[in-house]
Amino acid sequence: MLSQERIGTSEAFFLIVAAMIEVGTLTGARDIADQVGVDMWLVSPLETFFSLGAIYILTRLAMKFPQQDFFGFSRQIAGRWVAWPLSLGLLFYWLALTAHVTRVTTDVIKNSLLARTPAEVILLSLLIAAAYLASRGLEPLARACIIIIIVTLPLIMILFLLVLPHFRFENFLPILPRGPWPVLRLAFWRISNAEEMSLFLILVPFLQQPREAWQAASRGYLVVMVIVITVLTTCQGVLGIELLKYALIPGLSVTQLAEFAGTFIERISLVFISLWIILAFPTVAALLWASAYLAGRLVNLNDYRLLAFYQLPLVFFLARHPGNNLEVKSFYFFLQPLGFAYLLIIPAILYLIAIIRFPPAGSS
Amino acid sequence: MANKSWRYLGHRNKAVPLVDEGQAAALPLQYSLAVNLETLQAIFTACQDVVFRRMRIGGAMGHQAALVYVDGLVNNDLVNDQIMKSILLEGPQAMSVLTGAPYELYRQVRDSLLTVANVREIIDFREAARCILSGFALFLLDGVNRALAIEVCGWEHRGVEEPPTEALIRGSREGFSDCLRTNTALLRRRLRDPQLKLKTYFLGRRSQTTVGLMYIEGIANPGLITEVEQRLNVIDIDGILESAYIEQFIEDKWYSPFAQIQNTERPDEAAAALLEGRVVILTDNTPFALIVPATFNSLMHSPEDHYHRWFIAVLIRTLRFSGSFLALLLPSFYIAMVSFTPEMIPTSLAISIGAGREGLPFPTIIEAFIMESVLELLREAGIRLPGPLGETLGVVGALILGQAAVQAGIVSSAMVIVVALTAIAGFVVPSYDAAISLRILRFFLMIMAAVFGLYGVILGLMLILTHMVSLKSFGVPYLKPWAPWTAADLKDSIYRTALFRERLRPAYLRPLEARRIGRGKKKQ
Amino acid sequence: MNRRSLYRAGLLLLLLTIITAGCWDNKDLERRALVLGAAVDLAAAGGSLVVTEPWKITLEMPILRRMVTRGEGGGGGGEGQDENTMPTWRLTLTGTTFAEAINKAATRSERTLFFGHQKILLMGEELARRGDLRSVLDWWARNRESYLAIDVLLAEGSAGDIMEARPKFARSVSLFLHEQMQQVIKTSRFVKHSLAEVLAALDAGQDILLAGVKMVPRQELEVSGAGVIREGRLAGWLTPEETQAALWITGETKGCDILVVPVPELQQTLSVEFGKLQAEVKPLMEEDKLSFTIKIKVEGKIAEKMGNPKLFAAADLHQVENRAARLMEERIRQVLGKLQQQYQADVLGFGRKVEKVRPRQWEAMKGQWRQIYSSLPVTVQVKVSIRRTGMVS
Repeated sequence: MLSQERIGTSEAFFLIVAAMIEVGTLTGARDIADQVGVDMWLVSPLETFFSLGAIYILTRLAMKFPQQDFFGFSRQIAGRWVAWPLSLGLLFYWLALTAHVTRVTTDVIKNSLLARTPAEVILLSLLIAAAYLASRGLEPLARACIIIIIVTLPLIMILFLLVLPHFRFENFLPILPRGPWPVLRLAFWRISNAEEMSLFLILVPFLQQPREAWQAASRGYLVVMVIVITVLTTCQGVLGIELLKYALIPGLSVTQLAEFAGTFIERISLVFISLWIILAFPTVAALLWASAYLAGRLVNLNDYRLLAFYQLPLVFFLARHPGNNLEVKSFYFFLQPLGFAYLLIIPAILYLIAIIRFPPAGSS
Repeated sequence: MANKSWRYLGHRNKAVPLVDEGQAAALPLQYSLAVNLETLQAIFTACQDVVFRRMRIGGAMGHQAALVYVDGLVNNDLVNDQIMKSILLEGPQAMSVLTGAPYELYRQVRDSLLTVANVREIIDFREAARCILSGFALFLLDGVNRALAIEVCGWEHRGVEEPPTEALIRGSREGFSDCLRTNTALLRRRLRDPQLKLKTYFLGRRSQTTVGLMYIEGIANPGLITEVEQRLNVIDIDGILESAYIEQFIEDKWYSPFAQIQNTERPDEAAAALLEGRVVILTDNTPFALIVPATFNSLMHSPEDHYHRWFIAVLIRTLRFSGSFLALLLPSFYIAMVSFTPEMIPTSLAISIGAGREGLPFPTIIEAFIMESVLELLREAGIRLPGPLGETLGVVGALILGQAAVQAGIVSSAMVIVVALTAIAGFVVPSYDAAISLRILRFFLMIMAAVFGLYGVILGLMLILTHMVSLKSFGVPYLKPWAPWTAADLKDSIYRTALFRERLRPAYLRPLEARRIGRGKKKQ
Repeated sequence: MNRRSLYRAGLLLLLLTIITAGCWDNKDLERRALVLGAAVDLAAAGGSLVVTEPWKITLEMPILRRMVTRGEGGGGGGEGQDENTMPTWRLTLTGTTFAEAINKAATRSERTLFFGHQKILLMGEELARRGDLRSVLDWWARNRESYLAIDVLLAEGSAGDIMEARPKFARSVSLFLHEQMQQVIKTSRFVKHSLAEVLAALDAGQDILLAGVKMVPRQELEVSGAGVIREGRLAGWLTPEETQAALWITGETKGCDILVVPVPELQQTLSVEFGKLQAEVKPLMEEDKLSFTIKIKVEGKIAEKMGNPKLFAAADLHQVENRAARLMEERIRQVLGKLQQQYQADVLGFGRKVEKVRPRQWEAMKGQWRQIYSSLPVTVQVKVSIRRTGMVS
């Protein structure tokens, strides 16, 4: 019955949009600003191009084996001894990513809404709620993503419109004071920031039309990048680069300046952060679902869905481990190289081998 | 599958003995009238409303016959004029030309004497007993192993009245009545289509309630019809007293707070559902018809939406959906804001609320629970009390109690406003079932808000959403057409297009005939 | 089946513990003291920073009941009647740091202080002159509850004294100042800078102007003029008129300023009301010599005419425009002189302009920017266009 789970292309689109947008987008501005300064706004558009390339290779590879997930096709391409470690690595990557997202979200919740509530309680409640959604299976997950996206995204965009009066173009000057290389390099490295795109490594066999995987992936990614670029550009345009480096959650600080305050809701920024917290749920749920599915595949389990719950202790441990918010980044240092590997290097290599070993038959 | 079986587990374990008609009553009718009557009398022992009328057709030496019926279920005038008179007065004349064989007489009675339209032939006792109990008069003749069930039903029942639970400004004033036949007729009058099919079931081992399954052949998906039939056939209970009994047996998830089957008292709503490709289940003795499958979207609709012009309908629907969100969320938001994040309340309002709350004995959450419970109490009491008194109670309760509580410094006036607003907003939801699930979930969200504030509300909403997206009603995802996203069906969701643009039936019902508005006549 | 129900029981238990043990952040509104505004000063009269508790903070909090009595004669208390007592409580605390001082409130107030509704932050003159603003503001930047959009103001004299004022409409000094700051759309005699802007400027090492507040007779308040913050400290004040001129340069003026233009040629004194104002500040680099040009285009209308009752001709308007432009140029030069030479404070963001437009040169001159700035040649060109003459010609 689970093998019959199928989602349409539009559902895959919404799933990927909901999975990609998370609190990290709000804090992301700070990381970029730290590295390239005023050219921050240039990074994301460039990143979009690089990432689209990586996503193209990734989905090509997956679409070459429309009935297979990552474990299946990597075994077919490179044999069992390669498939196992790769899949285990992917599993770990997803779990660590889940932990990272939940940790960052928890920090944001603690910083904005619940100062005195123990972080463990927030973390656990978030994880359990997300695992509950993940354990329903892919179809309900995709449906939840649709509802969440169509409710939250328009509101978020409206909220960003409210801060436009504070937008100052001079915050973007000077352009490229240190030359284009730091920007290009960072943009290339930030391919690893399309973390949740790795879901397409296993998503294709679930699609009603596997041929439309690239369509769903690219459109989803573009929509996400529109949001991300809006957020980052607004952050920079409103706050300026100095405050951006200094603020813990620049995206939240920006909305504190909304001109709307006092008329209906005093703190529009808290509405905003609530919407963003809502968006963290599908991300965590999608990652938990994916890792549960992959784990189920590895141990040959048909009904993998409850595994979403069994993974929670590990995720909880990973998320709790960093002692303070500054340690989070250093603790999760491995996410970037891992992401880079699973989004670009491994798919590219596998694709190459696949083309050599299974050349495209005739016209198709 | 384990999941599914334990839905019925409870009923299987309970060893309710089958009615002892089991073997005895399945017996075929005998040739001897005396034996037949004896058996029937044995079946209806101590049923003093069952009338056994013995007679002889053709004088003292004539054929022995009997008429059995339940007093009160039959129309006495009909029995006297159409049965007794024809048989006893015209029977002997007819007999004189006959050879005298009982079967000849029987045929004569059946074919030419009875002046009642609906006459059925019965061959066994089970059928005989059921017909007698359904308001038929059973005619038995000595020497014939058959009986005639003559429909002379004529019990007292409520007429067609305006549906009290679903009042509309514009639209038909007729509501379903308690009699199944009237209800099917009401639907037939709206859809004069031979494709409108009616399948009848007798459900309930003891109640033998007539249940009608109606659908339009050629529109409703056959898969859906089979599914409904299968689920109806599984029902094994002693009595079906209301359509809710059926609903609880055939719904998908018994533990869900959401109604997965729509019910209506309005024939026009049922007819609209039939035209969309849904299936309507009518139950005898209740005006509430069931409509399957139901989605959250369809529960939030009122037939009136289509009687208004689209612009007004869109406004009303927007109002209704936002009202339902208000009814669900307002108290929990109030708690979250006042107790957790007062920075969200505009300063002057925060000062007013704070001033109103100064010196109150209870924290906000307790206050909210008290007031919401009082509201539910008032509502429940208002329903129980007879008509005008119930309304008075509402006014007395809401105004006087609220005012007194505020003046006594027990609750704050802001809380009273919140509760009142919630109650009002709850009434815009057209379906009582949908409204009641919102009421339950409101309390759930209030608890979440009391623990986690705004984050708790979000968490609660996520849990509710998770439940809703995994819910299905007869294979249709509950949140259709939003999730899964079907752009074509969105024109009858929160938004509704002009009627002539709603060309297609909802795709999620997989109707056999998708188009509902013809190609030929385009409105310019 | 059994295991499943075990899970459910476990989950239920978890939920129950959370609910019963929970509500960590649950604190009802009336159990919090809403801080509407804070005034910070130096504790010691002489403004010494070496005493053990150098910082003083005055918090204004509404006394809720008295705040909302709507002409009913003060509810039952009877004390709300007095015109001269504000329905607020002003709590003054001292401490080694602001965090400590504010924490001490727990010994004085039975309600937890809550900064979510803070509207203004007022700094005393002495504090602004001697203390480093970045350190002063750090608590507000770090605190979860406070808001980046709150207005930062400078008091002439002690900030705590300002909190004792008796505004006539508003029921609290902070609310008065908050509303008063909205008047920035009617005049540029003061400047409205939020905490976010101040923090951004301080972090970028820039200078900034802050609105000044002073007490006027009958315990009323006036917001006008601006304090010049240079390197995180108050360097001096600009008069309201100088503030106007400074804001013309930065383009922050929202319009509605009235410029009184005497036009001897017409024997008239005209009041020109500003409409749209566009300012363009451009750094010019000629042979390693940096200079600035300021071009201001302003549209205006005649708000009032005094003197010669003769009607306007189109040519007369040109004369008015010229006069007004000269007047503005003069005032701009005056304030530039004061800022460049007297205060050496780059509150107009000249340095930032150079940084944005000529990043390479900026790197070279960053070190001696103050010297360069103080002797920077600036050309000022103002163009006034009068669009309307009001309801009469």
